[in-house]
Amino acid sequence: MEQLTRYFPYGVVVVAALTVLALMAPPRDPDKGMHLAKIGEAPVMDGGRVKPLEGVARTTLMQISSRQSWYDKDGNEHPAVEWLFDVVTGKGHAEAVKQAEEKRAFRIDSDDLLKRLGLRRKPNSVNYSLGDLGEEGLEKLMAEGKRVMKLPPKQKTADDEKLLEMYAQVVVFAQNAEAATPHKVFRIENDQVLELLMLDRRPGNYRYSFGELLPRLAILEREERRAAKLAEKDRGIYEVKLADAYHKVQRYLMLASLAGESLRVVPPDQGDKGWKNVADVKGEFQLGQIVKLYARGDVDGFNKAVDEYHARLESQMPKDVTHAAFEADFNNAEPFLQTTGLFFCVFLLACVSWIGWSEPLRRGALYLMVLTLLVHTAALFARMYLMNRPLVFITNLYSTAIFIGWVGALFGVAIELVFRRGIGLAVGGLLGFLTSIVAHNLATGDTLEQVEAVLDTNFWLATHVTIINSGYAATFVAGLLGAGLILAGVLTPKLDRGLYRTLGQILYGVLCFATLFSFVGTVLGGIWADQSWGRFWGWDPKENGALLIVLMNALILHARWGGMVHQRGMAVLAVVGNCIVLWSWFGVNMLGVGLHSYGFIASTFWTMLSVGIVHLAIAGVGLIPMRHWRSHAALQAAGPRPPSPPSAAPPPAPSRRARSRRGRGPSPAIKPA
Amino acid sequence: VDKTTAIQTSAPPDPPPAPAPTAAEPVPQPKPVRRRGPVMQAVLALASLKLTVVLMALSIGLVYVGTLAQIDDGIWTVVEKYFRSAFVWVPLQLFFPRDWGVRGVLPYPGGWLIGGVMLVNMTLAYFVRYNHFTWKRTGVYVLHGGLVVMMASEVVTGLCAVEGQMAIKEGESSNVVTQNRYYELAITSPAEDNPTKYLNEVVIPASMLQKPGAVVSDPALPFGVNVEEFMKNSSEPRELREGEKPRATAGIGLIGTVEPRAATSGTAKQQTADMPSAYLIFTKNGEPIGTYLMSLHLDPQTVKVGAKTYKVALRFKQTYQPFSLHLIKFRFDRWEGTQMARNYSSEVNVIDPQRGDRNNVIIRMNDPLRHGGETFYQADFDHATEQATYLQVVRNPGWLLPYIACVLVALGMIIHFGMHLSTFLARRRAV
Repeated sequence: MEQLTRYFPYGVVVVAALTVLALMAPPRDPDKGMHLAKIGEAPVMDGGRVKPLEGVARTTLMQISSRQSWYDKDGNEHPAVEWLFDVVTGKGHAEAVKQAEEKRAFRIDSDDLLKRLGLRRKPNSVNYSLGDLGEEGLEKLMAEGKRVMKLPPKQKTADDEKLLEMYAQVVVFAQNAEAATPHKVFRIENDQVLELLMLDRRPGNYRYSFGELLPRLAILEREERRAAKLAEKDRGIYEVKLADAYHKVQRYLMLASLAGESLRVVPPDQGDKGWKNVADVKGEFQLGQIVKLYARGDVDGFNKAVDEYHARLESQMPKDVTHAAFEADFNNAEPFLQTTGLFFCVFLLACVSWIGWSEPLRRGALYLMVLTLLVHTAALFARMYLMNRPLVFITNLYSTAIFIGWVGALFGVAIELVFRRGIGLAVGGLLGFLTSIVAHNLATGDTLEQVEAVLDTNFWLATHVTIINSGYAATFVAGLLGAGLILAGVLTPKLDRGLYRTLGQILYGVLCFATLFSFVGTVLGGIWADQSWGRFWGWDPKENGALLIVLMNALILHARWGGMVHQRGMAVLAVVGNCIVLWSWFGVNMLGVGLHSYGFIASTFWTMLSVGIVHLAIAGVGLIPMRHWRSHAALQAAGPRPPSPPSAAPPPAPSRRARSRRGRGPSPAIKPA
Repeated sequence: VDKTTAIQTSAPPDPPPAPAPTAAEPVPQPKPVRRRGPVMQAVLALASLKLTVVLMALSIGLVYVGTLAQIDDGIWTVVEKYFRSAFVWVPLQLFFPRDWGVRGVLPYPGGWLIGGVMLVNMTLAYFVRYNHFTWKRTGVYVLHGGLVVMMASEVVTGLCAVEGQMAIKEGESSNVVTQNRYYELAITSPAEDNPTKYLNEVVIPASMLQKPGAVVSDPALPFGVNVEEFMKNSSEPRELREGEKPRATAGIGLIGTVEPRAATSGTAKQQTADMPSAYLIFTKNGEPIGTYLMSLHLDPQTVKVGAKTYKVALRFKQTYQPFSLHLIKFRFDRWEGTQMARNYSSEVNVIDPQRGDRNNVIIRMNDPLRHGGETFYQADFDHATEQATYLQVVRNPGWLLPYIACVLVALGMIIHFGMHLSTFLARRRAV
């Protein structure tokens, strides 16, 4: 048992490290098979920066499918780059088209129309497929469509309109059939959109292939055009999801032609500047040939061509090749996904340590947290290398979430090293986990995207942005501590006097850091604004948000110093402080759209609102008189308050044994600051 | 394994905890023995930490409503109404979706009032509560000194800072600064010897033209101005509809008109300047010359008085620098293969006979030019041609104050919290 107690923490960290290493290992190309990983590392120009082809595939797949890989119908996982090659070459095209032709995508309930198309009424369905139409029916439809199109609008009957709709369906089908694949990647959840596309709901998966969308693509386009004409405030969830589905189709079609808005896959003839768009290139290019070899299934030819292409780029732009290869490995390792899981384990271990077998579990959590921080820190620095911005942690909203989690974890470890009660680990782990979830939800595109012109300054990104976000993080840590204190006191009988005061001390210390960081960060922001457009303070919503955090933190500290609040009061106010940080982090970004248009930002808005309400509810619970707290007895257990200051009854001199374990267990003799 | 290092969920038995008053059971504070006069009591109240906390809570509320208000109003309207005022009526509608049509207002102290009392509170605290200097309080002194500097800088900026814009085309020079928050009616008279040369300029600030019925007359003006209507913001001019009676009796207003518009809101995606228009009656010796439509949308119009022809325009307020800038080249760099802006920059020569010329100065994002007390920032450019630059021109005598304040406050906090932390850690070690 003693052995287990001693080695358990190390065991935890070794198992976790091995698991993470295995998960993060770069993919190996099979000996017998196409070297897809290698071609995935090839640099291309997209969004104004050089990135690996694999990254383009990954981002696009993410946007379409909310996943970075795809699963075939047997449930096997395939890398994004394989999907890219399948889409570009139209793998499984024949099968997808055949399915699409059999899909009953035409709803005809008029007998007259059936007659015009030479169809016979089906006994139990009004839905017809292209197959049902047959060649004869198709010819009639095309001829009728062309005729009806020329009619003046007033002369068109309802049947004519329906016929035109079918005509458009067939035309759009034919135009896009080439890009059809059977890969189920389009994530569509909205019932109304699914109904429009005549697709069944697929709970738990919600993914559809381009072949399945194809028969009713024309209808989707028409509806999207209609929705786009609506004023912003009239757009509901359906219109937003409609546009979303339509954009997914657009992204897919762009990728299929390897010619996105800013995607340039053809390298310059010499040097590393002047990448070309496929559409502007006449004749053959190497990547195009590689694609053809893939389509043909010529493994040896493919691998040889990939090697040649790699060697050419290697000599032509060695830096970009190394860079892209590193990014491909970084993408594949998904370090921030690993840390999400690790943070959760830390949180879990710390929580369980309060129930029993405390010290081994707590130490396990601590070591695991150190491992997590190592991975997280390495990943943050990898991002800096990839963006070529030393000491710039944050370049977009996504990276603020990643960074706040990191700072929160650092705070957690620092708290833990001083107090050793698992509190710091629980808070750091929880914050790390929650911010990772936020980050994954924000990662809707290239997370290493180039910045806007005004942000293109490493100095201010490294100072102002870093410090203000550290302030956010510290305030969040304080808020979580506050919520922990309130919930532990109200809901459990375990919050005793010593713990109560320890929490108060931690809260106070963290709030001091929060004030420092948020103040300095805010003022540095002002100085940046002064450097950038000559106005130190403009009272604009983002600045005001930062100021609110400073004011809130300063208020808590002053109320504490003035004796207006103590541990509980600080906790309640710190929880309210969380709402203010949320407001300043996300809330003010929504103001520009206006409070009257919920549709467009609906999901984020409601998430924010509910998180805010939960916070206020916890703060409200904190205001319940302490005699109703379940921990009331424990809080009183230390006996009645001594009537005079401690100087009247000096504590006994610390024994040698007590001194030798300085800083370990809780130390109740600490006076409040 | 030392069992005592295990986590204890109950209070440890050794030394009794120091008394900490909890919120649940506030300790009755012993009343001060010494009696104080009402003046001293008032001073103490003004210097109290309680007041500090109340003021902070009030400012949180003010900043919050001042942010919400920017959904409906222009940022400058909000700044003047909420932050640079003593008192404000906050419409309750701010807190609800606008289509609910919630009515009612809430009286609230404005920025000057809260800030002013805060300043008094902080200053008095130095004399009343912190009048015995101790080294322990160094951080507090430095920190709050920094805050005073910071507040002073906002006052200096609020009262003295002047912002304007300068537009220069490539290959041309300019010394004209326009201020697009202020407007003026400019009347230019022809030179005595050459009627085609316009030299003397007389301007009436638009603030004098706001009220219908206002009369402006001055010996410097060649004619009087009576206000019929002033629109703070207005639509692009349109031609009069058939049968529509012109409100003007002369000038372009005979064939066209404009519609009033709401002022631009602070959170609007496109921050555009308001474009005012006005119907003005020009008079000579009390006799009307005609009613004119004047608008920022319109070019200068000619007004004939006697033998002289004047050019009159409603325009952004203009000032003239004693030096000029010559734009050599404007550059708009994009990230490769995209339309995403990477940088904007203007290469200029400063032509200044007094202070001396400066050649080939680059003004770009985050890198302004400071010259002669003015600072020039890269603000915008002519999007159609990309051959003209718009510079933001700011004169702010207090621009250095925030830098000083930031250093002071940061230093103060580091000293204060650092002292706290080291004492705390030392005490923990001593246990």
